[in-house]
Amino acid sequence: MLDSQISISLEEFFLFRNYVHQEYGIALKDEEITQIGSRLTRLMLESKSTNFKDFYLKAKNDATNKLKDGIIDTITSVETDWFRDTNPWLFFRDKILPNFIDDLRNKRRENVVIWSAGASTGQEPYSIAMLVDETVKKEPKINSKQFFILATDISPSSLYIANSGRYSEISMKNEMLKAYKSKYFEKTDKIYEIKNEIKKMIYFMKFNLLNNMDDLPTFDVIFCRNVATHFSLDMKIKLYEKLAEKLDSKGMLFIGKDESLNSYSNDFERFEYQESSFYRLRKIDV
Amino acid sequence: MFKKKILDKLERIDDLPTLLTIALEVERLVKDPNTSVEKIEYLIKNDPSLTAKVLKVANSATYSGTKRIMSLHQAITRLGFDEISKITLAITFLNTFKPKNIDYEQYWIHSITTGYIAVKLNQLSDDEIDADSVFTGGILHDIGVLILDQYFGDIYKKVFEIAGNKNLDLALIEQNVLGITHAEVGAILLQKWKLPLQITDIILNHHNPKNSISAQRDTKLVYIANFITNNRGYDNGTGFFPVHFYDDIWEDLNLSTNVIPKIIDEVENELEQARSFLRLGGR
Repeated sequence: MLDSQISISLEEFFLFRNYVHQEYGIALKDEEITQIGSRLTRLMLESKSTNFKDFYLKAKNDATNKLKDGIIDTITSVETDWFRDTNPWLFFRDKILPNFIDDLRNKRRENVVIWSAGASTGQEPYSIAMLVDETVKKEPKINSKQFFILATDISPSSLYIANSGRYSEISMKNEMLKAYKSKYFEKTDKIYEIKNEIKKMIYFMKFNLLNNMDDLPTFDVIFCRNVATHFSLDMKIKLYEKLAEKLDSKGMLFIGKDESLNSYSNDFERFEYQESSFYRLRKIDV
Repeated sequence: MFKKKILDKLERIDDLPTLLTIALEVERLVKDPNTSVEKIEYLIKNDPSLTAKVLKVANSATYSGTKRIMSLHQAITRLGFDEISKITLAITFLNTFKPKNIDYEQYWIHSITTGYIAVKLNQLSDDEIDADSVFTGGILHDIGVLILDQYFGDIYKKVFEIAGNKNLDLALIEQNVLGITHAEVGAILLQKWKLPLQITDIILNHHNPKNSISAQRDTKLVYIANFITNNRGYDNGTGFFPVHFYDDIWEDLNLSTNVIPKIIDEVENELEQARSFLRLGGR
């Protein structure tokens, strides 16, 4: 019986990385080792591999290409995805955004400030922007400029790609994205480029989450999904401490589906809504 | 493996293309302290077609400003020795190879744009350093592709198609199928033709800039410029769309992420300049 998660050693990761580079020309980054390990677990279990080396050999010798295709899918989805995990996005679109619109309409607020922290190659902030645009367009008195979306990442490469808003066919295969493709993307050959009106909604900036956040505004919503997985315990504690300070008293924090805050912070309270969860600042009784 | 066959044939290519003789001599002259405008003019005039093209390019918006350039003499004086030398060399290559399977226009738009972007990146970096070889290195970085296409058309056609169909890195497929990459082939032949070391260095290492010995900064500029051109949708004909570049190479160049929006805007300019260059100086 296999463990629910097969871990992958550094050596095995390098072996796999070389293989993937040779076979598919894809360059895996060092930081992806944890994600790769957990992502491949399903494939490893399905192929009845007892350890990673076994799996690797099966993949190399796979004449049907089924395993190889599975690997490609897994690897290309390691990068941030559109509307990742779907449910939180449905919740954001169907509950959170309408609430904000209501607040704006009734002048209970002037604007909404959203942060995509660890935005990687841009899929997350663009997902936010598309949903905002879709919602706002139904409201004649509300302007999308009332939504300020900040997207930060530490990688120049990711920031370049995010700024350019250009994506290959392979990275556009998300289910929820289907409904938004023709509306928000221009296609040239096999490349999709997000429309300018959506690009303009986002402010991209280089930012290291380990740094001081004093100069950042207070946010109504923070997306910090699957970023902290790479951090050490210490770093995670500090990160959530800082995020707590940056979140509005009524604000919401979204983290990754498989992540948990409990071991790192007492500042937040977890809420669940239809298979998605989010966090709010824990209210202190005086 | 085809590697031995390719190396043997490259070894046997003796004749320096005519235009290249002129261009390399211009290049040598430009470095000579005793040179003169007349000497360079005299050289280029040896080939009327080359002269005409140099003049046309010199008169393009990129180089001439508002006053029309009426003669080669004027072009050399107005643009300067270095610029004329670069333009002459670039035009030479535009007119030297007869593509068999490669889309000539697509290839050269990619290459020339990369050259212009590499120059722009240098300007936008926080330590703008003299990057003499970057324009030429940028334009010629994929020359191995044309060489392989010209001399090994049938074999190379298959390699090129595989890379395009599967959106894979061309160099990887070449390594697997041919045993040698376009980077190596380009460097070998151009070295044989006695192009400057810095240029062949850039060509050899444009996928692995840290391996560059004599022109590391220039090679890194070309590496990023190549990515940018590909990202914009102008690849060298393979249809390869890149999804990542190495962050440390960006950082080594002292490029700020704040200039990213500016770069993305400027790419349109560079593309226009490349199209113009090709139209005026090409076949």
